[in-house]
Amino acid sequence: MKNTLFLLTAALLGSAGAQKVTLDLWAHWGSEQRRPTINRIIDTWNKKNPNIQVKYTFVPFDQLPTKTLAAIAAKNPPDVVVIDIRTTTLRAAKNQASNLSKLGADKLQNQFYPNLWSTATYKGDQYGLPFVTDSRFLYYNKDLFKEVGLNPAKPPTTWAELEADAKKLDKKTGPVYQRIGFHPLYGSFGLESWVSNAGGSMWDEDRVNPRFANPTAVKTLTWIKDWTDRLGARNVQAFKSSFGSGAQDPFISGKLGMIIDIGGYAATLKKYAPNLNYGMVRIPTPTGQPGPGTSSGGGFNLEVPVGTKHPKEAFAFARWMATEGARIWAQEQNDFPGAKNASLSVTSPAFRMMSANMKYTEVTPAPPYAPSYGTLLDKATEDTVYRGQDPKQALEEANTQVQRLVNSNK
Amino acid sequence: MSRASSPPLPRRQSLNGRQREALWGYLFIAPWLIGFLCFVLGPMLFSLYASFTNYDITSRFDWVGVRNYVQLLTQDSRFWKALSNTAYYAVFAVPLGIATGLLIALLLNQEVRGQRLFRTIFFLPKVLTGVAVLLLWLWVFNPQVGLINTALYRLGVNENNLPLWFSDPAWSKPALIIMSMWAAAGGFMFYLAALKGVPRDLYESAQIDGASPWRQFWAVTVPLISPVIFFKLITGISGAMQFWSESLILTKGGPSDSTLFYGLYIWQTAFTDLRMGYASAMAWILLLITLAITGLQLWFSRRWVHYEGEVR
Repeated sequence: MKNTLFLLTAALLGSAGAQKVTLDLWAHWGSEQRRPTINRIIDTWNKKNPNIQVKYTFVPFDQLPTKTLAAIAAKNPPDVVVIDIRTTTLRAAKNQASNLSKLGADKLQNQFYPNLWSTATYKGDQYGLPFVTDSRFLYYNKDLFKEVGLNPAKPPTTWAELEADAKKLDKKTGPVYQRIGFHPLYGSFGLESWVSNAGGSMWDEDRVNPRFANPTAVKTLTWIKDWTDRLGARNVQAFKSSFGSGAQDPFISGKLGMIIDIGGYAATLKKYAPNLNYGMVRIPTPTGQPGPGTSSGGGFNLEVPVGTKHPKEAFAFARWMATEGARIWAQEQNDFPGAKNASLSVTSPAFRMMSANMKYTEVTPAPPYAPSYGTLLDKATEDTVYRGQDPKQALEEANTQVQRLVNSNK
Repeated sequence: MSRASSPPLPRRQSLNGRQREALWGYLFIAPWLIGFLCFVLGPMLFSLYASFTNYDITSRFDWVGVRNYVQLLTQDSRFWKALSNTAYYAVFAVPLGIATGLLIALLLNQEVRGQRLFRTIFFLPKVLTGVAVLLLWLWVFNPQVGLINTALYRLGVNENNLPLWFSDPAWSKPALIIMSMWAAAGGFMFYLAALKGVPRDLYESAQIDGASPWRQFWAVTVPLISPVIFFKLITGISGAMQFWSESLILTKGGPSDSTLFYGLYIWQTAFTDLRMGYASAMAWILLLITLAITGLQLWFSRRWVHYEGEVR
């Protein structure tokens, strides 16, 4: 509407100047911490590009997917959107995200980390540009290591070492645990991540059909179950319910000796526990050798929704945002950017570790035909670990349900 | 509309009392009626059509006949799980909610000092809503440090027998039902208004006949406020059938799908899996179930609901 009015006025005045467009950018950054940075990024672009002005709209995180979907369905979408990295292929399959290869995205490929670039590749074409991501690490409390007679300079590198160290760190008064050394499902590393860590996958090669009951998955789930049985399923659950955030964080308060969390957790520790003596290392694997799936990450892609009136301008901005914009974002927000060059400008140790860990980090996109598979997999995991179901049987049941979802959605 | 039935007479005179009343009736419901016709009926019919397609909002919209319905009823175990969870919730939450509201209304109908203050306090659940309150409940039900488990522990329940509430499939629904009673307590206003309307002389006659307070309650109070109870029953059941936002925020349907309510499953199917056609079919099944239950209730109501002003 605004544009039409503008064009009309321009035509009436007979001015021949370049046509000015206004792009709508939607993202979930609205907090005091995030807002100034996104504003700075937009201002920088707007000053350089008087003819392509960007207007930023904050949409709350949990509403962003549905609002974007509704806007696309109503044929009035934002021109660029920052959206969950794991579901880009779904939106590509459903004709919601524009094919950026047609706008020349393919030649940008080597500017981005390959594990992130591939999250937005669907049937050989590119449907998004990686903006930010993360990578997970094992954090361990060096003081507690010393307390129980472990060498703080020798963190665990294999699953066996992890379990042995964890056992030493457990602390019990009577029947009640005061401290649990480590539990595979505490922190942000689920069954699927552990299976990747063990070198397996929950999917067939095209990531379309589920292969939940494969030997690696069954073995991994059994490993988690045995770990839980040793502590007592009830204890593991009850203990978890006492976890808080901020200064009540279980790792900060010493309730856990080790935990897996994203690289950005180092900033949390700096803020709430500046004196905590901790180490940050690669996540242990069964053999001690790292592989492409040793760690896992998430993050956000930039997409151009189908139906935008200015695809070329939108892509130009998305491209700048994913590279130059990401540089500003990384410097101010400490989130790890998807563009390689943007990550070089930050020199904090945690950042450099993340950079080095990228080749061992898998960002697993949700399969395009069963985006809600996670709920079913979680159920199988919990039923096994906490409620005594047989690992193989639970995984097979979940597999059947997800396969049905895939078949009916194809 | 009356013009058709009326010969040459002027319009004003053609409206007899009944017609005039009907006209006023329609006028009063007009805002709702217009809203329904403009904003609800269209989407409803659209979703009815969509329920026979593989609609995914953006890329396809093909007729698949009754496939969605057949799949739901014969293959989808989560559909039955969601339906039984919802039924479980309705069976307990609705009667308990009515009992709680009525009990509190009876207490707040007593003449004691500071009654206004109590009424204000008990009305708070209606004023306080939203995510903040739900997160507060999460702490109340916290297995380790929550109010409820602390109280149970003090009462002598063994540490290993304390419910894990939202972490245990057996206790997650009871926890939500207990939560809902708190909100239902705020509904006492309806009952209180009805209680105030019960003529005092009926109680006096009953007392003269020697009726105990308990007997008075069942023979006088309940019949006379039965229209309000009936209203709360109808709205309560249809509300319970659509109950799910709490589970989205608190449990995401877990643990083990124990709080996967019908609405949550519809929402997940429509907006996570993008199977809008399938979700529409689910919505229509729910509508049919709710209609059937409401019809049954209306039929049964003739046996127990008493309208004081009714001419029989």
